[in-house]
Parts: sequence; structure tokens; C-alpha cells
Amino acid sequence: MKGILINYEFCTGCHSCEVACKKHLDLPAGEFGIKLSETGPFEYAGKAGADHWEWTYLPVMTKACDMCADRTAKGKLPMCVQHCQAWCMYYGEVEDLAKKMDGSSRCALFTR
Amino acid sequence: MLFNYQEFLDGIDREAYHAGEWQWEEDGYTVTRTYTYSAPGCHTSCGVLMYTKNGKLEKIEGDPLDPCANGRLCMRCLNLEEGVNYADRPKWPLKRVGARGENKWERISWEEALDTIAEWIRVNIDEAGFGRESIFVNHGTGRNISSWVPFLGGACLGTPNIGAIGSSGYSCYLPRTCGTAASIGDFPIVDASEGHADRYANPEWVRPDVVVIWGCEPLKSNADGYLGHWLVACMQQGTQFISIDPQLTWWGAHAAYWLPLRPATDMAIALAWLHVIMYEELEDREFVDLWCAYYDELKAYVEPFTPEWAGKICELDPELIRESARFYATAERAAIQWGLAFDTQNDSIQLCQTVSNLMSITGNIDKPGTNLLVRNGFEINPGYATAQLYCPPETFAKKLTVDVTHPGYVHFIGMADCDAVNHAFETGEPYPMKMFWSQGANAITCTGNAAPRIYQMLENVEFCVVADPYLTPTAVAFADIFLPLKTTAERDSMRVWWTPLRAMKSVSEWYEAKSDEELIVALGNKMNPELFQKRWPTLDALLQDYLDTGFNIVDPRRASPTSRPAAPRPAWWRCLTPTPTSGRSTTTTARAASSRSSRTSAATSTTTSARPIASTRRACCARTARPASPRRRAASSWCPSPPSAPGASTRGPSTTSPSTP
Ligand code: SF4
Ligand code: SF4
Ligand code: SF4
Repeated sequence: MKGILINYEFCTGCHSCEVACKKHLDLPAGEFGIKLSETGPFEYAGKAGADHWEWTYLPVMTKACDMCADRTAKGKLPMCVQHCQAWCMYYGEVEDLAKKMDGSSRCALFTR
Repeated sequence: MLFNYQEFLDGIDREAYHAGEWQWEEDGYTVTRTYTYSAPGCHTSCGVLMYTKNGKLEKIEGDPLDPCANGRLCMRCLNLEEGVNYADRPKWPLKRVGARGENKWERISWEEALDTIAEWIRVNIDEAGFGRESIFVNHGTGRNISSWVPFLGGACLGTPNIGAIGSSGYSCYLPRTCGTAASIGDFPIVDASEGHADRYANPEWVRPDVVVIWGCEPLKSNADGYLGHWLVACMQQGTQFISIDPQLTWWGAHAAYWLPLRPATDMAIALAWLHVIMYEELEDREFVDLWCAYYDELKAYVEPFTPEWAGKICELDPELIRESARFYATAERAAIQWGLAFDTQNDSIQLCQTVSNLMSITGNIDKPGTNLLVRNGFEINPGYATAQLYCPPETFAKKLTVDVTHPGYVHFIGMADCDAVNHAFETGEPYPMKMFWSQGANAITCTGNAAPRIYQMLENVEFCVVADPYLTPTAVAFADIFLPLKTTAERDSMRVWWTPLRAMKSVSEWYEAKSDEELIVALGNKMNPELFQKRWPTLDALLQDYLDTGFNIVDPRRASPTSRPAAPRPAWWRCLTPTPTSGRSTTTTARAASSRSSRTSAATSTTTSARPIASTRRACCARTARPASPRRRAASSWCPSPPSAPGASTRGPSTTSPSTP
């Protein structure tokens, strides 16, 4: 089974995945194949440095997502993965993607 | 760490992305591998695949095989098609028929438009006894039109008055360029591996240990620091961050230190960091001994500027200032990413120089993973000063310079002085401004803090020409003639602003729109045929000259060592001779020639190397560099680099005129 791994620790909330996907699926205003969620910013009392703040973006894949079937059949990357500016999205077999998660930073694995 | 660049490169299906081809057919589309630039205008220029059908741009995606952006695009280029095919985009030249601001137009031909302009100038400027300095050319900041438009001003219209309007002083990048020209000799950018075609996989590249994001939000806009998201790739590889910003940004939330200073007190932090580094002896002693002048004087100067002193001014805990200074200074490799906030403060030049000093004394210059002194691809260095070489010397002498409104100050940059321009429009002194030419600029909106003032300045200007892809508020408010320009999708051009040299291929047409370059050729051949027929009769000749000489003056008698035989000086040489007022000395020229020679021969595989006798900015800048050449090579493997200039130092300002962004 194919999936998309999002190493969302590094997602900057740039919206490129959303727009790339909308272009690919040709979706009207208000519909999304992938949609960004935002948590924070808020502070953790008693923590310092990079652990002090929570400000997390996580794109959520919707029912409209077709895993870019026509693109991947030709050997191309899914539009969202190809354009992710923060380089935090990966496409592949879920087994391989699961192995890629190394516990060093937060990840989410999406399938259809 | 999940990020693995080599794995990414190995994983791309090169056949699916047509490696090695620049154009192909696919599913009924013609696909062109190219780069985007202005218009709409961006400081970056990412590699794209443009999909066209019947000469119309249908869709666009990033090019994973482009080593600049690796296929990643921001929303703007992802949606480029909407801007290119915008239904109300002007299709042909327009003449105003209603009152200014009424937005009523009549279609005219290019011939009529250019004839009208030429005739207006002949009757109302030349024959009315005014000089061409009464024409002001306003341009925007799209990174290659900012050399084309000044060139148009000088070579086609014959005016030295080119630049911005409405602002006071220079509030965008010029303080940083001038500040660094004087103290470290070139533009510093963070080394995020952009100097290497194989990027993060290059064995000589090392990621920075610490990056200071200072007065900048690179994820939203990184102007001349290249792609902000490259810094996220560094973060994934272990780079730690310091954020100096009154506001919490994504960087502040992810930083080891966030310094939420009181706005515009950056100078106090910079001085206190110098104090901590110098008095705790955290400087890079070897680099200081070899390359820095006046270290002891600087140390004595910053003695009073303790973190406690700065803490009061910045409203920050002095310990935070002290610890962050140590964090920057003790990193093996640290870099500073600075932003526009540096240019918009009252003490901007001093701030830029002080922060340059931080880079210098910590040795964080031109070694992998620090601040790189970056250069243009193949040393093609067009700029304001280049453009003004073609304005007649007697007109050039009347340029609106800083001393018009600030007596005693010395003008040393290519642009006309903003305050002097405003003064001339508002008072008619030292001479009246008769004509306003705006190209790729939208003064009434983009210099919006001064919109009412600009409106008053321009509403009574006798003749206004606006050239732009869109009918902007400035065009509607003032234009008598509107000239439609091409966007990046329709334009054959190139980007030389830093490595690598990038080509832009026209893939679509938009009715009668002309590119900035085509407009120059058409206008120049009408207004200044003697020069243009000889040197730039066609678009091809213009583009080739840009690549060969960056529009510099070329003495055809002086052959380049590898390509051209000596030739007698032709009659038109006279009109190309640089004037003493251009601020270039023979000493400069000699140094330029010697420092360029090695690069010239190395560059000939792709560009014909005529050697400009007028030097470029970079050649005469005092340059700070480590003596070890491997570092230098590592920094610029895309572009053959010159030998570093031994003896160059941070000593004293250079006399050169930095090419302007
Ligand atoms: S895989 Fe394709 S369809 Fe699914 S979210 Fe990404 S771009 Fe949209
Ligand atoms: S493109 Fe990448 S960085 Fe941007 S919002 Fe989507 S997942 Fe986040
Ligand atoms: S940064 Fe964005 S607008 Fe600029 S060239 Fe790249 S994708 Fe286009």
C-alpha cells in the first residue's frame, strides 16, 4: 500500500501542498485534497529554548485525495510531495515509510 | 534525521521528468524546462516545467531536477497561470482618452505609442530648452528588470535620473549592500549549499551549526537570501537557530534563543554581541590576525556597550544577550540571515557595518556553512552604474544627487537620490521634472506609506508613460501612454543575480505585449539609433551583449586574452567612452583587469569574454577571505572563482558603486 509520510516537525505552514493539490485535482474554492491544520503558538511553562513553544502545522489529507494515481503511475511524485517547500513529505510503500520514521522528530503517516 | 538529499536524488525517476531535455511533448502539452523571474517578480527564480498548449500557458510545476529549488515551489508560481492569463491583462498599447484616473483608454499601435513618446520628448524637452535630466525613470525591484530599466533610462532616454520616488533615503537593501561593500567587500548570504550543483550532497559543504535569523522572516520573504526554506533543510540536518525579532515567528518558536527586542534597537544588540565576543576573547584569532584591520580600535570602542547597557535599551534580559552572543561566537560555523529590517532603521548603515564586523571577527566569512560572499554567475554584473554609462556626460553631470537636499554629502551610488528626486518634483529645483516613466513599478501602491505625497508629485507632471504587465493604480492615476509588458512566461531572458546563471525561455504569447528587453530595442532604435544600430540593433544582439559584457563599455581594441583579436577603434567608440564622473578610476580598472583574468578564461566555455574596461563593482571591493583556497572553491563550484585577494582587508571603505538590487 502506498502512503505519504509527513515529518510535520518541520512543516512551516507554507500552503504549497494545498495549492499544488488543488491545481492537480482542479478543485473549486473551498474544497481541498489536503488541508493545513495549525496548533499554537502557545508556551510550555518551565521549558526553555526550542522546547518552550508549541507551534505545529499538520496537513490533513481528505477524501478527495487520490494519491496522485495518474502521476505516480508515470513515475512522478505526488504534487504535494514534489512541491513541499520544507522537504517534510515523503511518498512510498507504507512499510518503507514506517521504517524511515526514526523517532528523531514527529511524523504522521497517511494512507487512503 | 529523515532528510536525505542523496536518497532524494537517487529516487527521482529521471525518465519521467525528461532528464537532459529542455522541451518535449507530453499528453498534448508542450513542456518547457525553464526558470521563472519577473514579472510577476521574485528575488529567487525557481526551476519550473511550463505546460503550454497552442501558445498558452496551461499549468506549471516545479522541476525536481533543478538543483536550485529541487521542484519545490511557493504558491505564487504554482498559480502563475492565473496571473499570466488574467482576463483583464492589457493586450496592446493604450492611450489615455479620459481624465487622469478615469481609466478610459483607446487602443493604439506600438508605432504610434513610440512615435508619440519620441515626439513629445523632442518638442517639450529638447526643443523647449530643457535637458533629458527632466525625465525621471522609476522602476521596481524584480531582480533582472532592475538592471534593464536603468539601462533603458540611460541608453534610450538619455537621463541619469533613475530610481525610486516617494521614499526618503534608501530603505531597501542598499544599506546592506553599501554597508557590506565598505566593511567586508561583498554581499553575505547564508551558505545553505547554494554554491554547489549537487547541493547538500556536496562533500565540501558543511551545514551551519548556528544560523541567526535577524530582522527577517525567510519563510515568507527572503529577498536576497535565496530560498528561505533552504534553512529548514539545514535545520533538519542539525542547524540550531537564534531569532532576533520583536515578533514570534516560526523561527522564534523553533530557536535555541529568541530575543524579542524592542523594535529598531538591533544596533544595541549588535554592539553588545561585539562587546561579549571581544572581551570574552571568543573571536577567531587566526582570521582576525590575517584579515581584519582596526581590531583593537573596535574593541576599545565597544567597551562601554555591555549586555546590561543593551538590555535596558532593548528591554531584554542581559543574560539572554550574553548567552546568545556566546552561542553564535563559539559555533564552529555560524551564519547570519538578515532582512529588510536592517535597511529601514535610522542607523541602518551603522547596523549593517556592525553586524558585518560580527561576521568578520568570528571568522564566519566564506567558509562552508557560514556567510558566503556571493557573486553573479560568470561575473555578469549589470547594474545602475553600467546603465548610466550611456547617458551623455553633460546630462549625467546634472543627476539628482544626495547633496541637492543634504549639502556636503557625497553621492556614490548608481540611483538618483530619492530625497533629491522628491525635491525636484515638488519644487522644480534644481530643474523641473517634465516627464515620468514607470516600468515594472507601482509607486502609488508599493511606496504606499508615501502615496498621498507621490500623488501630489505626479498629478501635474506633463507626460507619464507606464510600462507594466498590468494596469496598475499608478497607470490608471497618471499614464498618458500605457505600454503592455510580457510576464516571465513570455520572455526570453536570464538571471545573473548570483550563481547559477539561469536562462528563461519564452513559452507563450500575450497579444502585443513586449518584454522589457524588446521594449529597450524598439525604444532605443527610435530614440538613439546611432548607438543602437551599432551595438544593439536586435533583441539577440542585446541579450548577447548582456551575457558578454553586462552592458559595460567595451573597448574593442583591447582583446580578451582568449577570444578577440585587437581591432581598430571604430567611430562610434566616442559615444561609449566612460566619463570621469562615472566614478571609476584607472587604478580600479587595472585591478579589475588583473583580478578578472583567471575567471575570464574559465568562463569562455559558455560566454564570450570581452573584457570591460570599466570595472565592475566586485573587482575593486576590499575583500575579506580566508587564504585557504579549498574553502573558496567549495563556496563557488558553479562559477569559477577568482583567486582571493591577499592584502584585501576590512580596512576603509571602497570607492566603488555597488550595483543596486
Ligand atoms: S497525493 Fe495528490 S491528491 Fe493527494 S493530497 Fe497530495 S497532491 Fe492531493
Ligand atoms: S508544503 Fe510542506 S511545509 Fe508547506 S504546508 Fe505543506 S507540508 Fe507544510
Ligand atoms: S520563490 Fe516562489 S515566486 Fe519565487 S520563483 Fe520560486 S516559486 Fe516562484
